[in-house]
Amino acid sequence: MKQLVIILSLIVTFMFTSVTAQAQRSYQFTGQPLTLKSSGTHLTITGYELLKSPQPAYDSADTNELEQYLIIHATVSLTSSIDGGHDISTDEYELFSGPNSEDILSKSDHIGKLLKADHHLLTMDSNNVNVKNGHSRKVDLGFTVYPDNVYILDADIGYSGHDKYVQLNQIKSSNGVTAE
Amino acid sequence: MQNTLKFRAQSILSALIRACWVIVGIMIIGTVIIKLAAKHSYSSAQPLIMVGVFWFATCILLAAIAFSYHSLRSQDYQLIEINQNQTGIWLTRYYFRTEQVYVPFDWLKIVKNGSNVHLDWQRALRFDRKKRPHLQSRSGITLNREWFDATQLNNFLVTVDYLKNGAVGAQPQMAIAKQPRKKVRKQQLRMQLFMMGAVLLVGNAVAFGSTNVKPRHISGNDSHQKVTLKNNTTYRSRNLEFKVHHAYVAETDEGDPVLIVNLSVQPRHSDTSLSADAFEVYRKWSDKTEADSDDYSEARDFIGTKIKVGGVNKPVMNILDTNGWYGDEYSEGVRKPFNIVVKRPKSASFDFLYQGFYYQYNVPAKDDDTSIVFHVKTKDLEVLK
Repeated sequence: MKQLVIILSLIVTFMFTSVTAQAQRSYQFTGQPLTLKSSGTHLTITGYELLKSPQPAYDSADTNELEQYLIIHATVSLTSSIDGGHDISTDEYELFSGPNSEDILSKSDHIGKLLKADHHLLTMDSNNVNVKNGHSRKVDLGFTVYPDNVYILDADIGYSGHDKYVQLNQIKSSNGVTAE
Repeated sequence: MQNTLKFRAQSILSALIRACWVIVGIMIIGTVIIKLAAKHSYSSAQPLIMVGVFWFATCILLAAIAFSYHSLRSQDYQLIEINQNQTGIWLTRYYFRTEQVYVPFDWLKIVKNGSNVHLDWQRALRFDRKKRPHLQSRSGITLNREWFDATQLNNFLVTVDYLKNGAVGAQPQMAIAKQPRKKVRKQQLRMQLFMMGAVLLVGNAVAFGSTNVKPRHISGNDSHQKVTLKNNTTYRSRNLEFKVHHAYVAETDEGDPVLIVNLSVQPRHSDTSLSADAFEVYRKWSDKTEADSDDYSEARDFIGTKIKVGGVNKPVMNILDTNGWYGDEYSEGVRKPFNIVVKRPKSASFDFLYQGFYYQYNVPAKDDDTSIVFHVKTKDLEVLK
């Protein structure tokens, strides 16, 4: 009977571990720097801004021309004991603006030139930025978004497959439909 | 003299049946838990593999129990036998592997204690399958009286006591045990096995079926489900699950009457997508109006619209746009309620369409989603506050 109990509890343990292995991590950005850690690569989100200008070029879906640039300021640092560096890739980041997925800005958006010099914009189809072990690097992640949406950054640092979700803002609303 | 101690067949049988029932229950409950936990997983293979592994493990357990029972029965339920020279006992252990242990009387100590009898020994010789002896240090077993015939157990203990003390004096008197009824047992077992099989089949079928709504075979009219739009209701197309939280009547800042649907969406496969292009309003939907693209309005035209709420114009938040999302971009971490805004006719009722596939009088392809026609009664819609 004792063996029966042991085997049954093993089976139950197996079931629960395989079930909870799928859990994802969600965070809320409160204005304080928020650090996400993934196998020695740390992403620290220090802030974000919704740019009043420049504004994105007209897009056929955006008839009212409401779209704006969202820039997330972050620092990537590497504390791995493994030699070599980490290539910060644009594919590691994606933004959800409400129910819509947005890719990181590409070079052709020409926003880099319009921004101030202290920005370190990471754009698609540009060369990946490398961080050496023990060092850190400032990066800016740019996206095109509608205002009045909830923005959630989906970061899969180092393609670990364990996505981390950071909700950047909160919207005041009495009914879940209109923003105050 | 009582030289052997046998289990009561009836006790063993009922214990066996009890254990099997427990395992049947665990199989069904485990299946439900796995299926529920994996309900939101995109891959349909993963829960199947998990259920498979789980069933395999429980089947091994069942087989081990059946094997122990079989070897116990082939030994005629015998647990202990006094050896021929009357110097000790042979104890047979029926676990996953049958093992015999020899305990000389000198090393044996018997303690009676309420419903239990403890047999303890300082040392014993354990014989493995190849009959090689191993010296076993201090150990013992506990016999629960429930498992034995009371008369037989007493007789056996008296015999052991007599032999332990060097067989001095007259042989003890043995009480006569009653013969158990045999026929009832077999019938009971057969009945129980039959019921177990039935419960296992039906239970697992229900557990598997209820939590795993397979995409139905779509033919003809099934490609368009016709439902009434209601608050707090879940609707399923082949690829998506829509949970409508609220549906509102409203007016834009430009005076257009609109329908606003506040909902959340759950993909049922990884290979899905959603955008504002999929939502349209028809005065009255029919397959012909859809095939002719004779819609009243499209949700894609109302992105970034402001809505009048109590005389104030307010922007609509989290509105689905024409890019939306595709495939595994969308996941649990970003799943939140969102809004769709679309112009409505001023009539008492109209139809709101989720277009799962491009309709030209044909059925959706294997990978296409199916469509849902939501019938909307204007008076049932809420007013934004």
